[in-house]
Amino acid sequence: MVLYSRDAETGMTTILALLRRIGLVVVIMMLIIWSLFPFAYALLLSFCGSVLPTKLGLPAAFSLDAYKMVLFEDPIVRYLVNSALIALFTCIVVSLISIPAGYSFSRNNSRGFSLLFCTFLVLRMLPWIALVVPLFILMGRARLLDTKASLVITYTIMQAPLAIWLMKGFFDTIPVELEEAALVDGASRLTILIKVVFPLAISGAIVMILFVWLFSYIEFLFALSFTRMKAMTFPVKIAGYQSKGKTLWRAMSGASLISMIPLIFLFVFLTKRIARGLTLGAIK
Amino acid sequence: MRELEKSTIILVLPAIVAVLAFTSYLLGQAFYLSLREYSPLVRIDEFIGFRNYVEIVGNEEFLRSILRIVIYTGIVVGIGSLLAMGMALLVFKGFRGANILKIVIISPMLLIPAAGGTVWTLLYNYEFGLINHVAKWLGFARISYLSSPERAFYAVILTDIWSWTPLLFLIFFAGLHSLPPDSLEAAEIDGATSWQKFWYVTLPLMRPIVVIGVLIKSVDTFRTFDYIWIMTKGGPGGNSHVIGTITYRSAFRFFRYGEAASMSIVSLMISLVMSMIFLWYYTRVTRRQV
Repeated sequence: MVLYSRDAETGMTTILALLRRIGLVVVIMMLIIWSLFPFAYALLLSFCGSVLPTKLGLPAAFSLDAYKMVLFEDPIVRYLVNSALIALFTCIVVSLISIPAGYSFSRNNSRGFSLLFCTFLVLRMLPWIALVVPLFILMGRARLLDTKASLVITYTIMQAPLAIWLMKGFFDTIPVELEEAALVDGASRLTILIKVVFPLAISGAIVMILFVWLFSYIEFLFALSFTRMKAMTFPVKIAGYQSKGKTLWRAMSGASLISMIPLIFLFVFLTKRIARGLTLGAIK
Repeated sequence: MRELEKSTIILVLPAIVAVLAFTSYLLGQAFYLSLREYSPLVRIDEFIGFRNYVEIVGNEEFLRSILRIVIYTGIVVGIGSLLAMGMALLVFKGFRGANILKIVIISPMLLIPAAGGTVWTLLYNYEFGLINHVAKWLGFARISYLSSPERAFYAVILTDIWSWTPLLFLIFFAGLHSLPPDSLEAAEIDGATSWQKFWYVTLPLMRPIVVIGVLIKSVDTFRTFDYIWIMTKGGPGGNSHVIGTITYRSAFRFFRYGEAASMSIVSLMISLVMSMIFLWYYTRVTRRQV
């Protein structure tokens, strides 16, 4: 009797384990399909011939028309370069502002500075739309509309609060004792900052720069408002493939896929950096 | 220490001037503009006091746009968090190919919002969209998504969920890694089931991380503009407008800068309240960890 019920029990658990296994596989498959199906369709359409598919299945003809248009006729590279340059200059200016500021907020713990830091935190949560109209009018008066400079200025003030917050966090992980030791040895504050502290904060600075770069690359609202022809950025161009008259679906698909390439590099780089940062933190 | 303070003040000065002062000036300008009727197109520029505010608060479209962004944020963050937590737990368990799954889960983030918006517009397209293709193949009728007044709003919500849930996944996943394994082991020794382990051990330990992730995502989602503008431009018939898009339309389609400024000030007020809540919780959480 005992043997019989024990068999039934293990039989039940085996079936449950099997169902669990199958359930897991089903969930994973659904997750994969959910995450990737837009890419698959965009890929399909980017190689599609002039007749778009109106039902599930392969298109009637394949062609490289879309990529010809995106790469040669109205080269997407031009807009990519605009975006990249704007991102580069924004990173430079934000670094110049946020690294010293992050250091200050990290080392100075007075009431005033804490309050000041809170102000920057609040700025981080500003709805950007509140700045569009005044900035637009200002840029218009300064004749900076449709220039890269207008976006560099805009993105700087938008991203600096986050950059300062990140840099403060990174500087917090560097012990003050190092600086105090150098002070005792008679070094000036500035040389301490440059020779002692900053080299240790470089990996933090790189993470901050990558975030600022990412933001500048994907930003849409201000780029749409401020740029038109000369300084049009990549996101605005991609959105521009859609129009009330005729939407260039295939070109848009191709351009969207191309837009992923810089981000893939960025993510690989970022994850390696963050992983290194995490392990360093764990060792400490 | 005096010397330290002096030098930190100097170092923080560029930040104060370039960012704090300039932003304050711009916000002041926005407020000033909101008290005027300013439309260069028809050459109007006159002081009208708070009339802009009175008008927009009485405007049903504007009020609905506020309600909509609240609903939008609620659904995107709510469903996104549930999905992200599920995915984080799944991948955290660890199995063959978990790393590849992690990369797959993150991939929606690789499509920049502008590209994501246009690709999903394609997916939702009545004739050429994959979603209608599959529906037809399964035997259902084709539906219009982005041109339907009822469905367009929720269609965009789905796109946002698809695009940014991976970010919440990353935050939660990192959070799971930072949990002390002892508590979970103790629970296992005591014979807890998976669900009990999650509900009574994992989730409470994850609370600060979940809250911060949710708050950051909520603040960002509240500012949303890209997807809605690219996919529906606030339509059809103004049925998917949120604060961001309706303000943009006021400024750059109607050229009513005064009205747009007043809308953005209202948006600012709402955000200030949200950020106060966030700051309160952030300081509470970080203080507790010390």
